[in-house]
Amino acid sequence: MDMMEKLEILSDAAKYDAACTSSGVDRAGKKGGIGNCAKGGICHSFSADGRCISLLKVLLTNCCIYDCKYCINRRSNDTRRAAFTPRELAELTIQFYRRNYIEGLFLSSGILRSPDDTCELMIETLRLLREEYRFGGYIHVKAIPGADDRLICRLGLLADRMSVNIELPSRESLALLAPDKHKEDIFRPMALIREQRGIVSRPKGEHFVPAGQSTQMIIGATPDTDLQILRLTQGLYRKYGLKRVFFSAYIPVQEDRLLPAIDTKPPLLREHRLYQADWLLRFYGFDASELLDEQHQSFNPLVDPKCNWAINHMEQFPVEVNRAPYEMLLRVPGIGVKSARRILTARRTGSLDFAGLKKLGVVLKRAQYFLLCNGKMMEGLRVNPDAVLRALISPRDYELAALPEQAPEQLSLFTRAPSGEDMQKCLTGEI
Amino acid sequence: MLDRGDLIYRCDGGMTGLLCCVFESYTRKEIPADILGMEELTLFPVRDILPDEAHALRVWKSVGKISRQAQRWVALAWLSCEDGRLYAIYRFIRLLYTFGSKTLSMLADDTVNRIYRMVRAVENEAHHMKEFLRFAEYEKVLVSVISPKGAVLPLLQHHFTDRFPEEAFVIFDRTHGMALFYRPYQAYIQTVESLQLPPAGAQEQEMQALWKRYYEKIAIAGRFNPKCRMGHCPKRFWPDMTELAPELLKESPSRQGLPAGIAGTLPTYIE
Repeated sequence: MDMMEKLEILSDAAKYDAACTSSGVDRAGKKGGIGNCAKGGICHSFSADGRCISLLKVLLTNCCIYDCKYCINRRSNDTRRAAFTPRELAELTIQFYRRNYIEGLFLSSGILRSPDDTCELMIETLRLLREEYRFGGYIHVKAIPGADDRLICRLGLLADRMSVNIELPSRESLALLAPDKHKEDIFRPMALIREQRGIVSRPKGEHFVPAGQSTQMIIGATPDTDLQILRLTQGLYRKYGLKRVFFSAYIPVQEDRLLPAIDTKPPLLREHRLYQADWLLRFYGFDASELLDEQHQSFNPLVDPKCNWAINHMEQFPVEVNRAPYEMLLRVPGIGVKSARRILTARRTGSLDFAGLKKLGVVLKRAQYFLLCNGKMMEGLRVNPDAVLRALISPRDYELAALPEQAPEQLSLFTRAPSGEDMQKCLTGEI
Repeated sequence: MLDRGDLIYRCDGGMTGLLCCVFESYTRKEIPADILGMEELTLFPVRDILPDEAHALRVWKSVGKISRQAQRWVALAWLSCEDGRLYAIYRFIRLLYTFGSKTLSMLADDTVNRIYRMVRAVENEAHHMKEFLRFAEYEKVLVSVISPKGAVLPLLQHHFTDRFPEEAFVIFDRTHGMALFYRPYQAYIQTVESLQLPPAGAQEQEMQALWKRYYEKIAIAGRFNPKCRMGHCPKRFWPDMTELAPELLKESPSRQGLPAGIAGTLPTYIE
């Protein structure tokens, strides 16, 4: 089998892994070697689905002894099988890296013979890269569930990031769709990685998974609610110190009575809302319980979680731009981490007005309803719940949310989100 | 200070010339209404400022004394090559002399905001180049052709020399007619009009084919979203990217767009 065919099969089999980030570690290049790492990560391309391509994302092999229902590589699936030798893969990685196609390698694998055997092949690939090619770029590797602890530890010393996929958000879902995997198989290596990362007394120059660990779960293959998923996510950040949790909208790849029908559309809006909430947990100081609770178990399809929170907590607004603490500024719709920081910087030298806020990159269309500048609201602003809601709905989300099979037909003056023109007509009495 | 609403300064457009405009303005105690390049025509009375290294250095050092960050902003704003940057930088330096280092936090001020945006734009453009720049190997030398909006080569130098210490490579910026040359372990930036490239070898063609196939395979058909892709990777970058360019580079790349002479004074001002 030639290289082209192998690459085809093994990248095709790896593409459902959502993670393709190269962030979390800063490493200078070394004379005699090749490669460095940038803290924020670097994307090198974007595929036709709009996802970033940062790493060469391939499986070492797509042969597998397991039979997980949702997975295209499961034993019972009739598909072409291939495997890279460690040497082939290391050489390909270097050749791609030299041409600035990629930031490094994302290596995962089906289980060949046994978890331990597979793990050893992966270690050999990484060892070749690090020791022979003296590769200093980014390596993300999947921990193989069920592999020996010592092997996981060796793998972790060669990689920058390691991940163990949770796959499904609850024990019940896991038992239903991945009968060979157990909750313990997943959380044990996670705990091991956390433990190993905590060890401080290592020989000089030795780092265990310096960019931390991440995980991924599939959304929409099982009936788990947004609330369950978000709680689990928060738990993972707090308990296991994860750097990222990725969500992957389930795309039907095969017929099975336990799975959604093959023509089901991937729940992209739901995935999007989960990522928005994930950001709120990590950068905006929100707690999962503020975003969803037992009465509201799913996200509002029309407005993002932050706006949704703001509308339901109008008693905390408006806030005074020139005095509000950073934490409160972050909670204003239309202000993000960057603009909040800029506000802090700019108000040190003088008070800010609405024109100034606009220059700092605040989205006034949203923020105006929640802000005061020197005790005053924006001039000419009329606040009524309808106008606020309309300003907070993004046209894109509206279209996504209003897919015909999901939304019942409702009588409306507008067939889609009211545009600026519609609004104007409405005000001037044309409609 | 006499605010001369009708007087226009003209300089050579380089960093030295610009700094000399600041110097002249303070020695003559007058504020020009605009600063233009030498060739530009205007109906207003003009004063042509000749570059003088010593004067420029005095201004440059005075800015550095106020704040290193301000110095960096001035250099980056100048690299952005945006229209009107000369006068904007002049106004910015005046503000620095008045308010000191706190000028940098006056983000709601029009002049400071303008500079801040230029700095961000040029830094973003440099980052885009780190992302989307592609090398092709020609007889053991890696060659890349880029068309950035700002003159970002000085901002790429450290990144790529640190990344590929043992390679020999060339990055040719065809918008500004300059190129970064590197072989172990020295690098320099030079004015270049065009590059003559031999045809790509067999291994190079194979790698490009592998990469293109990988690029096609990694996309998930059920999530096809060209708008999202264009948001992250605008079409203006595509012609220089192996996987998105319509055809392999056939003709030898040469300078197009802006006039030459951008490189000149630069490396002394930015590290």
